[in-house]
Amino acid sequence: MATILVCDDELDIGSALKIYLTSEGHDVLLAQDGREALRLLEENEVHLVLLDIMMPKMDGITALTKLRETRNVPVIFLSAKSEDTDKVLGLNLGADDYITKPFNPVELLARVRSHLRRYMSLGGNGEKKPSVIEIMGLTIDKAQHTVTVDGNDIRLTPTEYEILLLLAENRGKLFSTKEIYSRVWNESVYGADNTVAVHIRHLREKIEIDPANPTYIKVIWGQGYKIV
Amino acid sequence: MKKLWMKKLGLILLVIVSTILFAASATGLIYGVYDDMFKSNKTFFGSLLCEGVADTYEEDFLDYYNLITGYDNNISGESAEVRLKRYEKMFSKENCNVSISLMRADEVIFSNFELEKYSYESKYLSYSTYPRVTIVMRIAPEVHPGDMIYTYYKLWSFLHDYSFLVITALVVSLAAMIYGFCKLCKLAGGKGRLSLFDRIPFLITSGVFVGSIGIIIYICQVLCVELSYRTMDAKAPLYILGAVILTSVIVSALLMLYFTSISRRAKLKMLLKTTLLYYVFTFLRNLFNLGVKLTENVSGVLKSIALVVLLVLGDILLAIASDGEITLFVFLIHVIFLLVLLYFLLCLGAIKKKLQSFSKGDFTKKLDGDNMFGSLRRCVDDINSISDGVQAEVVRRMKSERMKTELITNVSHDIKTPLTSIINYVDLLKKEELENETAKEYIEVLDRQSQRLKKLTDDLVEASKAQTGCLTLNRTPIDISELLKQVVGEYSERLSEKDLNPIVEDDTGGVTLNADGRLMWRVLDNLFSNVCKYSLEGTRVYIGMKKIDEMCEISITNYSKYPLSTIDEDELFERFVRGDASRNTEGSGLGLSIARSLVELHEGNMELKIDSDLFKIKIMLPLI
Repeated sequence: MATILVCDDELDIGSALKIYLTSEGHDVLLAQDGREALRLLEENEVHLVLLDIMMPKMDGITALTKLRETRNVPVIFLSAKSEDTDKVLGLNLGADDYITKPFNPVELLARVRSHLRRYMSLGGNGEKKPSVIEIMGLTIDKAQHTVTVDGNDIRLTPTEYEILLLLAENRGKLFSTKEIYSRVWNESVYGADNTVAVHIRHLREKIEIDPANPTYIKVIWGQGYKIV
Repeated sequence: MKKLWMKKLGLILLVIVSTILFAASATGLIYGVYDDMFKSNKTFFGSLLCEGVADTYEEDFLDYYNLITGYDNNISGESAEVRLKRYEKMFSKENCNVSISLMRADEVIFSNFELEKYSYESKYLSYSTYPRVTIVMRIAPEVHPGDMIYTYYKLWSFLHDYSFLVITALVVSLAAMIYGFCKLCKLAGGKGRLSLFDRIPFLITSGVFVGSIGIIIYICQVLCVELSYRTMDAKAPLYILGAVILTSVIVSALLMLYFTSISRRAKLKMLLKTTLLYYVFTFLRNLFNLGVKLTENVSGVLKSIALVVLLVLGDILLAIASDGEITLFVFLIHVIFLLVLLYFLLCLGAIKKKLQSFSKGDFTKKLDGDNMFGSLRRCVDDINSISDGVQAEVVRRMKSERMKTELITNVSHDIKTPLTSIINYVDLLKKEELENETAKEYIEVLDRQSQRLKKLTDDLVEASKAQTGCLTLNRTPIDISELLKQVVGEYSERLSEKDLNPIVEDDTGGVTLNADGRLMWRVLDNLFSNVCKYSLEGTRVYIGMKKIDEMCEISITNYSKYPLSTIDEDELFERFVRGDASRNTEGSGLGLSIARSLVELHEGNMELKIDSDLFKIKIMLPLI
C-alpha cells in the first residue's frame, strides 16, 4: 500500500514496528539514525516517516528540519520525552503528530492510517460539497447526516450528531455545557446533572483515536468544550 | 512657577482689600443699627451721634469761658493766650456749627453766637462749673464745613441715604473674601510634608487664632472710641478708618495663614492626625508600646524590680549611716545603673523578637546588632550566622530536590525505551497462535504488569514534579460546578460499571476559581479513579461543593470496599501507600500524593477523613 520509513536507534522497536506495519500491508524501510533516514528518503519514494528524537549521529529534530526543506511527507515523532514543551517543539518544527513511548500499537496504527489517508487523498478528489464540513479528516455531511473519520463511517445518535454539528459549525468557539444544552435540547432549564458531559464523552469515544488525548473535541476544564 | 507666585500675590491682595471693605462696611452698618439710623423719619439731628459729638464741645467751651472771665485752670499746659486764640477761632460762627450758650436763671451769661432757627437743641446743667450753669447747645438745620459736626453729618447722611450701597459692599466683599480664601486654600500645599506650623495641634491653632482675632478687634474698637472722643477735629473719622484698615490687614493675614494651614492638612489627609486628641493618643500609644516592650521580657522586668528595691533599701541604709550626706552621689550612680539595665532589656527584647520570627521560618532578615555591645553583640552575631546557615541549607535542599526531579525524569526516559519493546513484543506474542493455555496466561500477566510499569513511570515523574513545584501553572478562570459536571460526565461509564451512583450537591451558587484547568482535572481524575477502584459496589458517591469565606470546598465521600480503620489518615498521602496492603489492584499508589501536591501548588489544601468505612476527601481552594 504505502512505503513507511521507520527511524529508531533501538533495533527491537524498529523490528516490532515493521511487523505491525507489514501486517497492515505497508512496505517498511528501517533506519537507525537521522543520516541513514535522509539517505533512504533520497533513494525511495516514502509516504510516511516515523521518527525517534534521541538518536546517535543525527537526532530526529535535525533530521526533520533537513527533511522539511524539500519534502511534504507526513512525519510522526516517536519519543520517550513526554513533556508538553517537547511536544510543542516537535509540532512547531513541522511534525504532523507526536506519539510518546511506550505507545499503544493499536493507537499508533490508527494514527498512521489517518495521516496516510489524508496525505494520499490530498489533491485527489478536491471537489467539496457545500453541505460538507471537513476538519482534519473528520467530515460531516449535513445533507445525508453522516459522519466519517479518515473515511470510516461513524455511527452517532441524533443528540451526539447535533452536539458535533454545533461545535463543528462554530470552530474555535468555546461552549459551556449550559449553552450546549440549550442549543441542542432547545430547553433552557438545566440542572446540576451531567447529561452533556456524558454525551460528549461518548462522542469522543467514537470519533477520537485516543479519547484521553482528543484531537477534535477539546475539553477546556471548568469552562466547556470546543473544536479547534 | 512665576505665574503661580503672581496668582498667589493677587489673591492675597484681593483678600486684604475685601477684608478692609468688609470691616468698614460692617462697622458702618453695626453703628447704623445701634443708632437707629434706618428708620425713614430719622435725621442726623435726632441721632445719638449728633448728641455725642455736640457734648464733646462742652469741656473746651467751659475752658474758653473761664479764660474770658479771667480764671485759668491750665488743663492742657498751653499758655492762656494760645488757648484763647485757638478757642476764638474754633468757636467762631464760620468754624463752628454749634451755638453754645451758658445760662444762669434764664439769663445768657456767655455765648459764641445765637441761633434763631435750630434743628437740634440740648439743655443741661453742667457739673464741671461752680456755681452751676445751664448749657444750651443748638445746631442750625444747614450745617457748613469747618468742624466735626459737619464731618459726622456728612458721614451719617451717607450711611443713611446709601445704606443699600453699604449692604451691597458688605455682601460683595464677603463673597470676594470667601472666593479669595478658597482659591488660596486650593493653591496651598498638597504635596510633600507638613511644616512645623502645620503640625501644631489643630485645637491650639484655632484657639490662638480666634483669641488673637478677638483681641485685635477689641483693641481696634477701643482705639476707635478713644480716637473719636479725644480728637476734636474733623480728622477723627480718618483715624477710625486707619484703625479699621490696620485691623483688617492683620486679621485677614491671620485668617489666610489659618485657612491655608487647614487646607494643607486636609490635602495631606493629616487633618485628624494634627488634632490635639490625636497627639495625646499617639503619645499614650507610644508610652503603652514602650511598656509592652519592657514587659515582653517579664522575668527580666521582675529581676530589675527586685534590683531596684534592693538599691532603694541600700540607699536608705546608707542615708541613715551617713546622715544623708553621700546619698545624692549614690543616687546618681544608681540612676545610671538602672538606665544600663533598661538598655539591656530593650536589646534582649529585640533578640527575642527576631528569634520568634526565626522559629516561624523567616530567615530572610538579619538582626541589627550595630548598637549593641559586648556579649550581646556576640550573641547577635551568633544568631545571624545560624540564620545564614539555615538559609544556605534551604537553598541547597531546594537545589537537590530539583536535581532529584531531573534524575527521575531522565531515568524514566531511559526506562521507557526498553519498556516500549516489552509492550510491543508482548502484544505481538498475544497475536501469535499459541496452543499452550498456560503460555497464554503468562502472556496476560506480562501484558498487565508491563502496562502497570508504564503507568508507574508516568506517575513517578508527575509526582516528583508536583511535589517540588517544578510545574508552571497556566491559570484560567474555572467554573467549579462546570468542572465537576465535566468530570462526573467523563466518569459516568466507569461509575456505572461498578454500579456507583454519583450524587452532586452544588451549594456554591456559581463560583469561579483561578486555576490551571488541566491540573485540576488531574486532581479530580486521580480522586475519581480512586473512587472507582476502592468503592463498594452499589453504593452512592457524594460530591459536594461549598463556598466558605474566601475558599471553595470540594468534597468527595464514598464507602470503601476494604476496611479502612487500620490505616492512618496521614499515611494514605504518602507515596506508594494504598488502602489494600496486598497491592493487588491496579494503580501506582501515587494518586493521592500527586493530587495533594497539585492542590498545594494552587495554594489550597487537601484533607482526608476516615470514619469507619466512610472515606471522605476535602479540597479547599482559594477563590480569586
